[in-house]
Amino acid sequence: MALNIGARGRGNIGLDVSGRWMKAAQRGAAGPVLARVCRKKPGAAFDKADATALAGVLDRSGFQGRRAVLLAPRGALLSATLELPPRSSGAPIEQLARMEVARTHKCEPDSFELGLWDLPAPGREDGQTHVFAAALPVSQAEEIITAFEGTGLEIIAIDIPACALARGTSGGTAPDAIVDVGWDGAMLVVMHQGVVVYERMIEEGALSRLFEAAQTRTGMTADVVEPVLLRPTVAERADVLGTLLEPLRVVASEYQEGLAEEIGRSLAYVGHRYNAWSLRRLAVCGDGAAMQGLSEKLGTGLNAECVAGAGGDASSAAHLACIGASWFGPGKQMRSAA
Amino acid sequence: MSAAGSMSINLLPAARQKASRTRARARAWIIGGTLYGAALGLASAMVAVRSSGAAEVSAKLADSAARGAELDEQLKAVRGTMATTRREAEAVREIQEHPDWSALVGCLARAAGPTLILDHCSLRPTPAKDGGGKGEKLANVPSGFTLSLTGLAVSNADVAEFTENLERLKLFESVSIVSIRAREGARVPREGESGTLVSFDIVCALSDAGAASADASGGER
Repeated sequence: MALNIGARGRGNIGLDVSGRWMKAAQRGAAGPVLARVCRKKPGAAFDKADATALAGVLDRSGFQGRRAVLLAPRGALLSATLELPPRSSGAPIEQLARMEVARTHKCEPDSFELGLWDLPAPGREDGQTHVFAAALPVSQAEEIITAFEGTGLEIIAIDIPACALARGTSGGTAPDAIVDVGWDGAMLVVMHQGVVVYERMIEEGALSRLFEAAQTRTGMTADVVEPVLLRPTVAERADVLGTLLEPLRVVASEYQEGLAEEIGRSLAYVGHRYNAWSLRRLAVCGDGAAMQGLSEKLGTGLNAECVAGAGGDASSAAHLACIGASWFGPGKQMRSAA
Repeated sequence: MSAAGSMSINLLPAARQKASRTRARARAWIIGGTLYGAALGLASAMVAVRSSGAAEVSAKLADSAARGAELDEQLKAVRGTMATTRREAEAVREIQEHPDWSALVGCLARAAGPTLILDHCSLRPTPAKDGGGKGEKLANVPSGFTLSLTGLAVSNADVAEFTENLERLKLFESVSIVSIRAREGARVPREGESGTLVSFDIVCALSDAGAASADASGGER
């Protein structure tokens, strides 16, 4: 990728290489510049061939500059809500959090990079410090960064997906929760008092499971299911694809009901933890955001307003996390225990 | 942007973050150094341009000073020429206004009488006295004339009589006997008289003031 002097005005490139599709976004004069590349081997580890293919697409798609912010792979990220001694006690909160994460995930304390931020006090006052900790093993980070070496892209930061999603939806009316429907799972992010207070990767919401069910029950491969279910503009235009949608409706409906049920359980937990929180607005994003009937099903099941993308912008809903990552900048209340 | 929107945690490995900061710092130093060098070069170029302008002005000033010195020399030369010319003009005017000196010779002959012989008569301009002022009167311009008379007389009384005759002319401002001395070997040539001739030296000052007094007294001129 050619170095462009004027690229600094465009900002960083947000990259998401998790799942079946690699996505990129960058701020542009007429809205964000977006790109999506299908991986040849979705289940395999991200390698140099993937990085080279992605860099080539970016070069041809109008992206400028070479500084990129990478979203941490969702499967590799270790996150937890921790209760630690009050900060007024002088206890080393960061070190304690690192040791607690290492103990929970049975790994060495210095084998991962850790980020944490304070959470609002829950309904019951216990005097403890509640923090949200997110950790990424160094080995997995190095594996991806090494794959990008020599492609012209410089990874300047690895962002936490939950924070990127919150950043991506911060432009307009902030939702109370965000669900990012991806290949490996649906990530539910709950925000309260402007802070991400909850995150859960719902494996039942993985598109890979939906595609497997569709192939098992209808015999359709992923290449057929994807345009029928996830690209409604194509389905509406083509009668042939429309006829293919009918047998998939049942599978998709079951998937959506299962996802709404899991989301409802998680939100019930959050509502129990934070009495002042309630779901009024849910943002749906990710690769499955454009799935036919998903927003309606979630809105009905959760009894909340459900919008696609940030402020209902469905065109960029799949890239919402990448857009948020491209806005990566120095935080004001974040603590890194690195 | 909400607080959640501003949350940014970098999970890039610490070693890579440090290397990235080092690269960024090196890049900043290189850019800063380049800009500094460029600014320095630009400033040097501006100073050089301005210095060349100063040198040009200095050269012009030096030329002007040399030209001024040359003009001063020419002015001095012109002033010298003017002084010479003025002296010549004064001399010409003196000559043009000079009296008929032949009349003086007649007066001297009449004042001498038969017992006195003039062997030398000279009329020279009297140099003006230097007043030390800035006036344009030149030192060599005569203020009057000095008449020097030398000759032989039979006796000292003849010399004294001759002197009185000269004063009687009212022509001279002063008549002075400079010397009278016997002239060895010079005998009175006339018969019936014996003795040695005396030589004399008389100086008469002739000036416009003396002439004016002579005119006022109606003296012979």
